[in-house]
Amino acid sequence: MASGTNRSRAAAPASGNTVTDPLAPGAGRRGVLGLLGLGAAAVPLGALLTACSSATPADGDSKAAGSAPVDAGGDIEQLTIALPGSLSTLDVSHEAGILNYIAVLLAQESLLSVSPDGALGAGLATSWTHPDPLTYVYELRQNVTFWDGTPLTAADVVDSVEYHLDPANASQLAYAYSTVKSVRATGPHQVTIRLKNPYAMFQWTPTPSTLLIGSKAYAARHKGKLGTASALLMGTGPFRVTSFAPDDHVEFERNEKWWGGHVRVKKLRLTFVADDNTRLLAMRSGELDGAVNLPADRASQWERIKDTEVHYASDHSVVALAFNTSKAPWNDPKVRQAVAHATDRQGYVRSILRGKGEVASALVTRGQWTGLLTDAEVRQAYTAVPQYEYDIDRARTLLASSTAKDGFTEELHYPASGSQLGRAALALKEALVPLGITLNVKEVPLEKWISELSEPDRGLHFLWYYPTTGDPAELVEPYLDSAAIGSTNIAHYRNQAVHKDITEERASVSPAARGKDLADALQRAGADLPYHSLWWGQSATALSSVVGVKDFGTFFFIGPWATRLYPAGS
Amino acid sequence: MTTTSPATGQSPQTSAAPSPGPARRAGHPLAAYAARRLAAAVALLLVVSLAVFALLALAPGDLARTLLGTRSATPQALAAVRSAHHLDDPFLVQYWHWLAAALHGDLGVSVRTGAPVTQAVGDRIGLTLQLALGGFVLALLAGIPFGTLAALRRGRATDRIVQGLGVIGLSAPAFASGLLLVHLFALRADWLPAFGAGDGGTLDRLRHLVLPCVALALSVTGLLLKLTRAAVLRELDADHTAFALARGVPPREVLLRHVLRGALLPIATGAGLVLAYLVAGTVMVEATFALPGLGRLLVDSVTYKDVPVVQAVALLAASAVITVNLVVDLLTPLIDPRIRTGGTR
Repeated sequence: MASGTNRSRAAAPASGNTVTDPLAPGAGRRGVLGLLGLGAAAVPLGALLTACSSATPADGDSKAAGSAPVDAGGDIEQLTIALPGSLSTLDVSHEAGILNYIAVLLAQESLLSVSPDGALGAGLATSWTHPDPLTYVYELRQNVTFWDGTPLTAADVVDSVEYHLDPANASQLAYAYSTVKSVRATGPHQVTIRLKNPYAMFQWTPTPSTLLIGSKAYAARHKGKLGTASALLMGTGPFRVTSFAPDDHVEFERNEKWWGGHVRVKKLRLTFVADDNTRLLAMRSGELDGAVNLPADRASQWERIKDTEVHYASDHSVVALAFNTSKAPWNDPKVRQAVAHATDRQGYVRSILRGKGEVASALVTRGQWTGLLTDAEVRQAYTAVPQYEYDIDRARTLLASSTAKDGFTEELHYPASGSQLGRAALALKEALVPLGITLNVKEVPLEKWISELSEPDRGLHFLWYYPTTGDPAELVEPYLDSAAIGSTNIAHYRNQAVHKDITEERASVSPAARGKDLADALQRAGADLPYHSLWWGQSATALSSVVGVKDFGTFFFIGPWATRLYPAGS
Repeated sequence: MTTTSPATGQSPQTSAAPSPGPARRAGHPLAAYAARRLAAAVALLLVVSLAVFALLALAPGDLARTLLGTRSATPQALAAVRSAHHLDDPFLVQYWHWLAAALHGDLGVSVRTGAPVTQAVGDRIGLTLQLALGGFVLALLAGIPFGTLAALRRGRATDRIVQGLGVIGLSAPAFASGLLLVHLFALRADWLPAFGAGDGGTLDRLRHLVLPCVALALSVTGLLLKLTRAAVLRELDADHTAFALARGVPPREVLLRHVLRGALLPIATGAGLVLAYLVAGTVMVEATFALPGLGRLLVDSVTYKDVPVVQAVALLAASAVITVNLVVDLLTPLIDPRIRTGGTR
């Protein structure tokens, strides 16, 4: 089941000196300190399914267990589910990591929703129209109230959108609104958004990962404090946040008045357990009902816990190395190619992910092109993306003819929640030694790693991204467009042809034309190698066998996931 | 850290009962002594606060950007941060603003969470104090009796076993012993919870703190044990002990009135250091047991460059150490009368 997704870029590189493998039995003090950080998801391992040949789309959902358990009827009084790290704030405009979304999307909703299999659907808007390329009109659902009983109005929606438009709020999600010209309440239950230029991806902006609707009055009362432990949030979702303590927990109670119907879980506690050993022992001792984002290399231990099921789903997530192409030595393509040839991607998937993943031939998975390209077109497009196979001799030759022929030292940081990234980094470190490249690998907490992505002076990052939409532009635009240098384009990648592809794609109304432009951009970037994609992942979630789950899919956590849980009978 | 400990190591030449004479007169010198110690503590605190404040200036990179945290660094946001933190003023002016606010209980806003620092610290200090005090009491209850036992059985098997166990406890990192405890008492025996601080009442909190406190105590019991053993041995070897025994004083009384009494001062000094260490050193245990305490707050805040929180916690930790030392210093004359009368001798 589960995978977390979100738009937050998650990547996690870190460099540093001390290498710690937090999973090693004898992990040292550093390892433990590192584990304090948050963690987020990881590529799961385990299941049987996946890892199939590369021709298989990465998005099939899989379950470790057979058929779904029977519904025992009634409600679940209380669930305690452990996240692998803490949240700093409930405000996703200031911390947009996957764990934040897992918590906040239970409480707040967007205009539109993303179904577990990635389709755009109704949310707080029952319908929407797109009368011309620059205009989007949303009809709001009637009789929706916030938890405090106040009705949802068009003004609340306008206020929630405008929050991201105001530079003083420094929203991390502002990028999704860069083309917005105005947002207006055009009726008591109608909101109209106008763009400055056509932008195809905008249809995905009013979905949970980039727009959450809050109460305007509540936001005004708690200006600057929303999302903190004292102010919490106000939303319309199926759960009401009752308490939040960073480093400890966030607690929810079901919203009896939710428009979406009866919710089976009465109380839900998401508890933050940064140490993976502790989390495993707590699940074994029966103190937890579940855990999300299990680390890839340990899911098999979770599978052995009595009365526990581990659910797997491909989540379209990608792990890649991001080279800072504006900085020596990474500005030399030969250096990037040499390092790419030193990565044993098949080996990573086989031994680190235990087959729970797939070698990535580009940033975007093959399964993410639905509606834009046919399967045959996708296959053809991916054949044209240059690949860099594991070949140390080739790597040595390339480096010897590069500007860094004497080698160099670089740092690579990975997030504490991504132990599989850490293992790959250590493997790469070893492979680079004979080339004269010293790679210092360091584990850092997830939020820290997220914030480092925007530091312009770093030479090498991990890119670790969980898509939240079913559109390949979600990755292509932010990471490959030169217009995004300084924000999301962490490779500082600049290619006029790619920029042109993306500019055309953004303005295009034809899905087929968009698909072609995006595929062209991926191919060109494959030749330039600003990012070296390593693998496409899966995520793993453990649930007690008395908890049943419906619709477990790629985008399961990009919505009110806990409403899909129910008491399971035997 | 205790600055006063004249004659700590030497055994009194006479039996330790204080002579009644100087006790009344001691009021004045004792007050002066206390005032001196207090003044020194306040001065030290000021110096520490300056150093702590300097952390902000020493933080690498653009300060305004650091203080913005993960928020997008728009020019408006940067300008707002600059003016809120008086970043364009000279260092000492900034320090003055900060100190004045801190004295009014305003330590700024956490970069990471956006919550007031006093709230973040206030939410966690209780748990850390409970943890540290629990661990401290357990360590005292184990370390002093067993240290005394080891000294009395010097060189024998009991001594070696007790010392050996102490060394094992001392060397086992808290996360390792913590996980072992969880495995034994939460998983195998199912007596105690495996993690968290509990959200029920006092009893629930107590149940949740047993294993963390034991894990914490294990890490310092060995230290107290060694300290006690050494202090008791010194007293056992002292002339006054031999004389007392020779005079026919019952051994039990010699132990209580001569040996332990003489050993009390070094033990109290050492225990004070241990307590200060525990208040600032709970991080491992907090991580292992997923407890939201000050230790984790400090480590997380350092990692996130959450400077206002780091300043507050560092200041608090320094204050804790200074306070514990002050208390030990103030207790010293009560324990050892020679210090009380030292000024007039």
